[in-house]
Amino acid sequence: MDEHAHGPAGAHEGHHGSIWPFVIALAGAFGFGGLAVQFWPFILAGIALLAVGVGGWLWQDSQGVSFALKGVFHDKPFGHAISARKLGMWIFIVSEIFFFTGLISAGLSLRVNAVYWPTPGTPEFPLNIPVTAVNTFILIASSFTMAEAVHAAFHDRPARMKVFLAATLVLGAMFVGVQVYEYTRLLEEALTPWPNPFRPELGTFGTAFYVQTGFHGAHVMGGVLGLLFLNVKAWRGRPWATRAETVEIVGLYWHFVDVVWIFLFPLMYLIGR
Amino acid sequence: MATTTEAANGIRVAEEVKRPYVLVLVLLAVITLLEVQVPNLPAWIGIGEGLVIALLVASSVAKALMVALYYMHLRYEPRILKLLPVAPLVFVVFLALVVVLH
Repeated sequence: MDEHAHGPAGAHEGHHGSIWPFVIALAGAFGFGGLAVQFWPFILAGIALLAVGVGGWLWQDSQGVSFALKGVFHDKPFGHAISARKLGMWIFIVSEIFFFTGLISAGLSLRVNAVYWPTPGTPEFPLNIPVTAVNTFILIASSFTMAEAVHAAFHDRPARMKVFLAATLVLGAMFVGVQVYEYTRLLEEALTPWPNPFRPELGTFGTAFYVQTGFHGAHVMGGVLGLLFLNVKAWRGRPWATRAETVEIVGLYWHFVDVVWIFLFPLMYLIGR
Repeated sequence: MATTTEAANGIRVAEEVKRPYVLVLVLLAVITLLEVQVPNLPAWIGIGEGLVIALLVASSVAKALMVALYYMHLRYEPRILKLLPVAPLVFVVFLALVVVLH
């Protein structure tokens, strides 16, 4: 591994293993597992592990020892020009496709078995299609700015890259903001994740809606936090943060989250039963 | 036309000389605008729910392909990386069949 072959950008940066991604994954297992079986000690353990994992990661980063993103690797899996990290992100994305396929299939199963399912375009349909259509434009635009940021990074234009990276962060945060606003409105209008006495017929639809859009929203939130971290590092002049491969890998995740929304939006907002 | 660019940081990357990012953005926006009108089609021109679903699935697949091929650069990647995200789609087809047959 030739980590210092690319001049100042590679200097003083090495690759180190880290326990913190594993701790964060463990937090997910405990937290979501606890939610699934409604077992509070597991949920609390998940929250505690998440705090320890993120805290440990940021502490390790502050010590100048970061995992995954520093240094340049020349490993070429399968003899092709794919870096090990990029392949790693793609394998993660494949695992995420499995996850969302299962989630969406569970939603479809609920839909075909539900006693009642609201029809888009009718007065009793609870979701706000125009607001979410605008939000969809916002997410699509953020994919565009991310692609431009990656392009700028590959062509060694860090100033342009940082502007587009910041725009992606702002658009991503706007998407989350609009979704939180919509959730607030929907909860007021008695669309809840569980059956309620005000609109009991919407119970199954509410569960399917909040679970699918909620998991997607959590992924967007994770992406926004990642973008925030990368933006701060890039604007503070960390060489690894403006390196093309770093920006490309973060971008791959961001585009994937956009692709999931491309399917979720028509499924939840435009198709009846 | 695709060429291979030697970026300043030493990583070789296949990039189009004239990148179609703006065109993809416009197409994604226009398709989304059309998608939002689709639920009204049964009332306007009397098409069935099956055709509504078919139209929306087709438009979603087209949009996802545009993002994957251009924004995620899959078009310029080696074949093995192109095939990687196709693998779980077998699972998607299987689950879709189960739901449809149900």
